[in-house]
Amino acid sequence: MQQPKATSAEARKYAINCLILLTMTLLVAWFFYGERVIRLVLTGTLSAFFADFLLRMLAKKGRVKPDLYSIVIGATIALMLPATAPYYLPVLGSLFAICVVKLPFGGLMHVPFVPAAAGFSFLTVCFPSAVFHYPKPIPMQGGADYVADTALSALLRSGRASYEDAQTFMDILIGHIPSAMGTGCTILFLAGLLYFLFRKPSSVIAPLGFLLACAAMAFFFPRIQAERLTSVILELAAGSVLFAAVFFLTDPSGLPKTNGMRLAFGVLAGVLTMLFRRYGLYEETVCFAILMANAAWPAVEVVLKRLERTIQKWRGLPRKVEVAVHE
Amino acid sequence: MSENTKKAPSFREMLKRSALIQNPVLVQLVGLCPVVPAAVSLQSATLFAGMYLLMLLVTEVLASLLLRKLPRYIRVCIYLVVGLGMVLPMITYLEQYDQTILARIGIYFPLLAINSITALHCEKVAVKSSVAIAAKDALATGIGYAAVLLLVGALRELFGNGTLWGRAVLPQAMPRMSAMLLPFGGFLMLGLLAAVLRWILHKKYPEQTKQANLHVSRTQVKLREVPLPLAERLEKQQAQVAQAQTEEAQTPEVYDPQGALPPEVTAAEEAAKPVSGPAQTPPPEEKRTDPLQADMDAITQEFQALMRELEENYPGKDPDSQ
Repeated sequence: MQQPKATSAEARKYAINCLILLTMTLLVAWFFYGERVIRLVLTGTLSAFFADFLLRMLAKKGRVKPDLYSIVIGATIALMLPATAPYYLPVLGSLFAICVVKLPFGGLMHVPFVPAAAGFSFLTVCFPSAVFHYPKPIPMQGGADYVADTALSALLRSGRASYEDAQTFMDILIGHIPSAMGTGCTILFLAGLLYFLFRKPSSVIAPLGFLLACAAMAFFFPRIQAERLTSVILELAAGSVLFAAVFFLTDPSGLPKTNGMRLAFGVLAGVLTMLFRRYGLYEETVCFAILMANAAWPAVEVVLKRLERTIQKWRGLPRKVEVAVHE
Repeated sequence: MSENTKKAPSFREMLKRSALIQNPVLVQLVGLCPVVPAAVSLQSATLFAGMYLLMLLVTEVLASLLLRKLPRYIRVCIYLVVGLGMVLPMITYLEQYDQTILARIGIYFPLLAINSITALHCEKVAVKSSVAIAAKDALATGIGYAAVLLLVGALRELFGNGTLWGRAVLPQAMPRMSAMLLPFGGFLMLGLLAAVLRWILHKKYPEQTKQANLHVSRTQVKLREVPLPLAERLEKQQAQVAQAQTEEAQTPEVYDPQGALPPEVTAAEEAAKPVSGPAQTPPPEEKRTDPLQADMDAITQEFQALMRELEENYPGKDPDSQ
């Protein structure tokens, strides 16, 4: 039985909030990696928008409204790629996200998976060498051409805690290290979470659970030989953890309805992310973890609801029952 | 019209039904094992397709000729033995003359012997029909399966390696999607082909594909606080409705190979029919099992009564609007 996971008004509001944050992310990425960032993001965005618009027009055989969420998908996928990515990467990722994940399931309000995460996962599996070929930021290398270097996520995977160039914590927090175009600036994403907190507090619950779970796993099971607090900061700053927390886990279509379940979903995604990081094949695995959390969530939700009912029954409280009304 | 005078379907009709409308891989979703992991090149797909077509033909003809009187559990074992009897000599031949392709096809080639399509078609068609119909069904189904194998193998080799039958086709500058050679790529390819086939069938044969349509009902979920006894009754009703729906979905479809396609009535035959008395009513459609239908109706009525009680006595607010 499929049910709408968000209303169209909620979806539009969410898309506008995301576009504001993505614009900030794009400006920071442009500063660090030059104008190629703009071209890549435009390519991804336009591919996603036109693919979504044309396919919906063909399916409905008439005029349709443009969907802002398709722009969010295209921009998100492009910003998770390195600045050296070829132009076909954001195009293929956007087409996969729209044509295979978003539209066949009925659009934003019914998708069981985060489309941008699925698009990036597709690119990771198909073109791993292109997706993980990170360049140094331009202010760091002092030249026009991109120079390849190791990302923080790869360093942590190999057990090292610092760069040979001895970058400070501040460099890592502002994104002055080799990374994907839009995922390096940690401070920006913390500001993004604060922005969502003021705009819609309930949307921050899942990211909070996600980050707490990642931090706890990094604290108790560090991958590097360093202080535990250093491990927590580096694990949260590395890769796309914060980017995913802001742009994937605030998505109303992919989240459960109640706050408790959202927190549980975030925790599940966080645990899976850290497990994938430790045992997975690729250095960037957040998207796979979120997709797996989306897939596993219905089964986990059944168990949690039974637990909730048992606790309420034991406490003798009036229970909330989900009553399905067919439209 | 009596059973004896019913016209046996032609090979063309059976091919249309078995290979297209009821394609075993893209519509019925059976026999995925060799297609997803093993059909990664046109060469391996051709080997699988040829071998399976032959295996299905021999097994169905044998089942129709000799195995009707045997119990079902013995028949299924014999299908396996027949399949292995055909696959093992082929493996021995490949071991001697072409080790490269043997390394590529791996464990999936012997697994053809236990392909679910063999047992499905032998039990549904071969043991209930004449040898001629069994042979036609085997050929029609085998051709449908082979077509999917060849298409998937060719596309995966083209997009994954840029080659066809080992020869470079795409220019070097074009990107290669290595994921196409993984099972992930196989599932993706199957999904896309199934979508394309469904679109074609909707256009060309809308009546036959109507039954396969899934109706997705959109529901609105509201949370209301209700006392425990009413909540338990509501949940019990919901569970009963869900169970009744599951049982209905699992009711086996009666397969009639001779009644698969409606016979074409020409204008001359239509004009030659005598007009006398009231028009004959068409035979009634197959109804669902009566007890199941009665159960579902009773459960639905009780559920609706509970819903009305809930609406009247406990008008709740939507917590999402707060």
